[in-house]
Amino acid sequence: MNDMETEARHLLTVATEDRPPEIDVLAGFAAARRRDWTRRTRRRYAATIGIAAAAAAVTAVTLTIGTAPSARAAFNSALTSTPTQSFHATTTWIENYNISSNGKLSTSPRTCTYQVDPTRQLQATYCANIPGKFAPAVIVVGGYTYVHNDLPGRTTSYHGKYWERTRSRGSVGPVIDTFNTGALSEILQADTVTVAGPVSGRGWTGTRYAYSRKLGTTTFSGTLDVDQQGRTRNLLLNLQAGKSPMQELEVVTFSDYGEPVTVTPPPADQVYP
Amino acid sequence: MADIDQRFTAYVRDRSEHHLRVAVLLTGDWHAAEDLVQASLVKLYRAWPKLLPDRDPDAYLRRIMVNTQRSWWRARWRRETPAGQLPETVHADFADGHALAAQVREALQALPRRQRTVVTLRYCADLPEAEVARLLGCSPGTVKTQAHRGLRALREILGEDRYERHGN
Repeated sequence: MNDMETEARHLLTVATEDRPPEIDVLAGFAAARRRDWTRRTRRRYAATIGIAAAAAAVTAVTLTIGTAPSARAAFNSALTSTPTQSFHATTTWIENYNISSNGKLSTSPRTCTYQVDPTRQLQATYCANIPGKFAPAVIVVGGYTYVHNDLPGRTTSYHGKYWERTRSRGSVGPVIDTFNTGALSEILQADTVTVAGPVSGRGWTGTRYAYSRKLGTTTFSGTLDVDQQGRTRNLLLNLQAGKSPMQELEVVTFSDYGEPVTVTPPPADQVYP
Repeated sequence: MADIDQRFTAYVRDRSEHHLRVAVLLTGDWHAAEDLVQASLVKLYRAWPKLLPDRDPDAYLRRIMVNTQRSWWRARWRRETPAGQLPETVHADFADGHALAAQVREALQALPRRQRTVVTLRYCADLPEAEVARLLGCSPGTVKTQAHRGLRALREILGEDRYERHGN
């Protein structure tokens, strides 16, 4: 090591010796993580409810015998009508990240479950970053939306309270415009929508539609299952960004149409403000 | 999840000081450095459960910090007017340690961004040339050249006498 390098090392050390005492990375990180979690959860929540609400709405879709709509019309109607029934939904999405320098992909599926009553504006969402370990994420009841802050070292956040409360703005309903990646609006503008064939599940039969949409180098593709009552049962979305290893796969399933939904607010002493 | 959070919190507690020092040299300002480290930690936290056991979280966080700082810089540069030349040599009294620290950071900020990043990673984070090259996506030869030019520029900005006096 030459003299100039030695001098530089010392100078750079000196340059970091006047750290202000108020800087606290750990506490600040907890706040930053809380903001990030809230933002991402809201987007995810809005996104899935956008799909769920639109899909659950199929009671409003009337498929007249003898004048069956085209595949695209039935497909779009199922995704955009206003929901009138309560339902349960489960979303599982897998994001692949190229996080290591050797290009190896790493995968971690995440799941959220939803109980929704659009008419009464009720919702309870539980999410799990680890399979099977669900924690409350979002509750909508009594005109308020409560978002849970799932943070490490969060004791300084929100005065030690875990739930952030905001006034609901009719958020339990079709909110296609706020879909996080814009994927749903892209699905509605699919380049192709075709009838893939009959499909059935436990207690229902229906039709499977296949769709695809290419936007620049990004491709949206998947299937939508609609039962004979016109209710969406499954939505599969595969989002591929060009030739990069980034990929997202999302599966949404709907069940228990018309079943009652009970939602209670979080304990008042854990809510901020 | 609790286990993951505990391990991540322990990591932040152990290593944030080191990364904060690197960040302040990249940004030139403590509060900007704090923002950079926190934003980078949030990204690291998202990927934490997916990090392979044999991967070094320091290396991954360093990469996030450099990329984040670069994207911030790109978003900001249009609002700034390039000086076109290096600032005048610093003549202030170096007796005050705080003033010296600020002056060294100011001198570092006068370097082109890539040069500053190379100097910081080589002489503050103590990374070998090959690792800096991998992180920045360039050749080790480029790192060597940039480091040499960066040190010469620092010496010029701070003044040779002061550079040697306070560098030793």
